[in-house]
Amino acid sequence: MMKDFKIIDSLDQIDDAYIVEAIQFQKEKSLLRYKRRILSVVAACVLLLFILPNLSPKIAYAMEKLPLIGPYIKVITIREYFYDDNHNQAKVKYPKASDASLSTSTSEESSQKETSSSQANTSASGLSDVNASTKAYIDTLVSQFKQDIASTKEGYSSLDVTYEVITDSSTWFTLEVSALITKADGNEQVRYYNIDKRSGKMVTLKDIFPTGYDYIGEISSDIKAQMKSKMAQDSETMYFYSDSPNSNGDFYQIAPNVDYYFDNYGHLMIAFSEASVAPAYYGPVTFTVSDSITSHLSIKP
Amino acid sequence: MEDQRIIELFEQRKESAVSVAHSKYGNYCFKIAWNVLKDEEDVKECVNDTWMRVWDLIPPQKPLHLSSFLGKITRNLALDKYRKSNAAKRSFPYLCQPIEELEEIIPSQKCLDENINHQTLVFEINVFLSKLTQIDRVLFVRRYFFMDTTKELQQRFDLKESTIKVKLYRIRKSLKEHLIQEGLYDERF
Repeated sequence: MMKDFKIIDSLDQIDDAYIVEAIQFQKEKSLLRYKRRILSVVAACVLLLFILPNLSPKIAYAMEKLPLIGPYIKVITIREYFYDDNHNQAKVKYPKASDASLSTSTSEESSQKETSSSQANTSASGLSDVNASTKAYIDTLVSQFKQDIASTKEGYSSLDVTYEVITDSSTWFTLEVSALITKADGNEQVRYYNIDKRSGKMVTLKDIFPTGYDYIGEISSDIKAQMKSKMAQDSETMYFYSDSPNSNGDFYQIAPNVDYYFDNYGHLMIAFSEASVAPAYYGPVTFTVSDSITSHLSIKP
Repeated sequence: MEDQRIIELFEQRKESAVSVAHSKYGNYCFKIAWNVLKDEEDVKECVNDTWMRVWDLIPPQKPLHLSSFLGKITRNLALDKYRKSNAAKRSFPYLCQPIEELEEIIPSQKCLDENINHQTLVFEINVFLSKLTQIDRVLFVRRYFFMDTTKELQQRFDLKESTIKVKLYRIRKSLKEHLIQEGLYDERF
């Protein structure tokens, strides 16, 4: 039976404010997720540093004996940018990574740290490259934010930039920089900066594969196969991909310097910002690269 | 690119306006059309039609919120296509769940008076939405404007699917009561 859709059609004319509200609702939820994440990290720190040592003398003793609580590479906030005019808000943190072993310490500690420092040759170009890259990226975001608020005047927008060290082993360091940009819709961008501590260099995806290996083609095919498989398994799942170079904005192949990191199990993860390969409500999307490709890696974490 | 700048490109009749709008809002429009049609070819056609419609409308129109402007156009075109497509295959029509849900509670053929002014109905729906709590209003708009699936709503609202369904049912019933109260709906017909 055909229907005339009177109610459904009338919804086409509802107040714009309700549509914008429904779009923004996701953004508010993303902000809440951010706050929850920060709160859980703070809670974990409080538990580790204050509560556990006071609950058990054994834990307190063990913690005293730890040569270093925390990573070899120290990341601190060197600059913050705040803006609030009741319409537009920005809260931005600039990270700076430095070699923790170069900080002031006792002679005994220095000798211990020298060992880790020789393993972790991070005072070389890697740290300065990561610091320069993160600064350039965040500067671009802040500059865009300033342009946006100058052009929209009474509009509503926000920028929230945070960072997190997600790997800091004796051989590998990864810094994640997250930016939540809100205008008509929320958009979450995530960038990853990797350092191979053995060489002391910042390493892009190209650097971890041998010269001549078609990592772009192999990884792109792998990701598209995963997209197709997930879409075949679940009709609600959707990715935007194309098998043709004339993809009209859909994902055809990874950029040579696409963002990546290694997860806790050593899997190579390819990261895409929100709405780049999937609907915006998916948020940032990651894909695990298959073992048949990672077996070719020339540098592993 | 800023929405204002995109609108200016349309006003200046620059062909780049369409590609810029598509790169920023293509996925958004695709998703809206997809939720109604669930057919990739139809959806792509619908999104292309959206850009043609926008090209015709701006100027003279100058939307305040480009996202909702584009959303309304895409949704309208998708519903037209849905209607035509189902009319062509009467035996095995694809049923869009949100449309069915709304029709189940408020059958428009049976109960909404032919003479009801469209603007009156829109006005009362806006009044109804203004009385809802924010979460119920967003839920209603996401389900019946954006036609999100209950699974998507479950993820977005962090609620159980059964809770989502119950909430939606209650909102639909409240809408029916509101329309009865305002004399726009009569179950006796």
